[in-house]
Amino acid sequence: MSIISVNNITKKFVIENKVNWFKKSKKELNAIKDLSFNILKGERVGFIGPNGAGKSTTIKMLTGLLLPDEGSISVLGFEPIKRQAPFLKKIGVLFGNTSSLWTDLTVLKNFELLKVIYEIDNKKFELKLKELVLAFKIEDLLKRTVKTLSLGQRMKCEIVACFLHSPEVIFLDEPSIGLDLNSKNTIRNFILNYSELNNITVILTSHDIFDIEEICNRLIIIDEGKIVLDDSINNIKNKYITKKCIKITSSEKNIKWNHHHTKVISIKPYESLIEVNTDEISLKDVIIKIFDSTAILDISIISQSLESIIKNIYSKQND
Amino acid sequence: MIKEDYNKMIQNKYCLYFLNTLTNFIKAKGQLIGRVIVYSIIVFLFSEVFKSVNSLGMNLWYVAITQFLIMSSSSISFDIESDIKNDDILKFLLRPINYLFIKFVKALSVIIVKSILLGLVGLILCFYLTETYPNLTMLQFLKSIFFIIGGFMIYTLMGMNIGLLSFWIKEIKNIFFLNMTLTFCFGGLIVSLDKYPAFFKNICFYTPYPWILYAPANKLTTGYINHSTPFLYVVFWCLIFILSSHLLYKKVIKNITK
Repeated sequence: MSIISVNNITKKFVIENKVNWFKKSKKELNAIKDLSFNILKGERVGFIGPNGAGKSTTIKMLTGLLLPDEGSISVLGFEPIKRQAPFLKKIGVLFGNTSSLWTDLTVLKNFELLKVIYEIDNKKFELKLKELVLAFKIEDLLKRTVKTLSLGQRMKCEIVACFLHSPEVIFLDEPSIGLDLNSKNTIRNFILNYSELNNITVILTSHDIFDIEEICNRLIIIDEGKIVLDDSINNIKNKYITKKCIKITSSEKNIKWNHHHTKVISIKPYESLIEVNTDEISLKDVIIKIFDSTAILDISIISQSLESIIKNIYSKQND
Repeated sequence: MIKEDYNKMIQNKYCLYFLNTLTNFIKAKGQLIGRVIVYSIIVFLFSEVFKSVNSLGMNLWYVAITQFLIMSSSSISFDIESDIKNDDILKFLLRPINYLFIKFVKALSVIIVKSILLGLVGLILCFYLTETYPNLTMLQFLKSIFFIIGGFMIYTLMGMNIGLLSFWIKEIKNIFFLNMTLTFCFGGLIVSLDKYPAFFKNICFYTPYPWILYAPANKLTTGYINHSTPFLYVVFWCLIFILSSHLLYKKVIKNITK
């Protein structure tokens, strides 16, 4: 059963430009055009698309921060725009570019305030806080005011605040923006493990494809307010990966290779990289041919990354 | 018993937020000391002015009280303006809390800290400089407290309205200063409205300003307010500004989520 249901929503923004003192020109921008999708409980859905594609607008409509011009949205059985307290208690929202914490209070005071706001039971709160503090290693930060934290430290605290009231659906808009690799990894691993363990639905937008690849099991690509692609990440990889590379280390200095539907893309002494078009020839056949043609010391298959697949989808879209 | 009450209190989100901002503001010692110094200088300067015209007594008490009221107020307008400009208002929309009430609670905590501090300083300074004090009955004193609270309420709610206007106006600085000037003129910052020409005094009473400064200061210094229904007027203006801030807030949110 889907817990998020979006039916034919559209959203237009009016952009006003001052022509002169008395006159303003108005231009309508279609941010979202007839968007529909359903999300099941426990799904981790990544929204990606170029700047201005409508990702954040969609998230804002799902959380009740924007009213769609047309169509309907249901999240956990609620109409988000009404922002009823029971609905707000069941969702967690994080916008990477703004702080949801009170910056002049200490981290701990923020969490204690959230405990009262979300009416979390004392014992549950203590256990949850302990678990989250341990996961993010933020024990030293609890007594510090939020405004004194670095971006990475603040982001960890923001995520703790987001998960503290055990929401059923988490909306994350660019959670790893501006973070270093270590912080990104900690956050990604936590979101993935925690949502899998607790069967939490995650809606994530990010320009960092690795966030999506590591956390999500479903991908929705949006461009110009429309869904370009909506499928599981595994399906996308299987469907769109038409080329694979085989890296060979051989005992011969230079190997001779000339077969249809394959291409040597790099040759170094004792090392070659062969690209295979898997639509035309099976990988197995190519490997057999390689073993027939030279003495192999090492062999590995390199798949196309999700990033390059998405780049291809974008370029096809633009063509 | 006190511990139980405290525990109950901190189970309320607004009470806990109030306590948090209160303790936070107390920690801002530099800001508080600066305010005390400025307030003391103002009171001292006016004492010299009144001394030179031989009218020190209650005139100084009046000015000290009006200054205390102005300097104890919070900067709620700019707080709300910054929330609107930085989109911070959104974080409140995504939580089960009332934005206006939480802002009011924050303003209240600031007012309490400042007013206790400046009140004490003003009391000591005025008594030291004038060697006299207002001769009030207990009932008059209690009524004065009502008007002080009423004055703070009206001024804070006005600030809330001005802050919310920042959604449509680029900078509220100008409106804020205009409102402040009107408060000084129509509210009777330096001299009591009773000393204004009758015609001008009548005009003042059509505005909310006398209830911010004149009513509390005059009640505390002389024990009376030259008006037939002062209590009703304070309540009336509070209700007007509560209603207008509520309507403005609804309009802001409608526009933000449009």
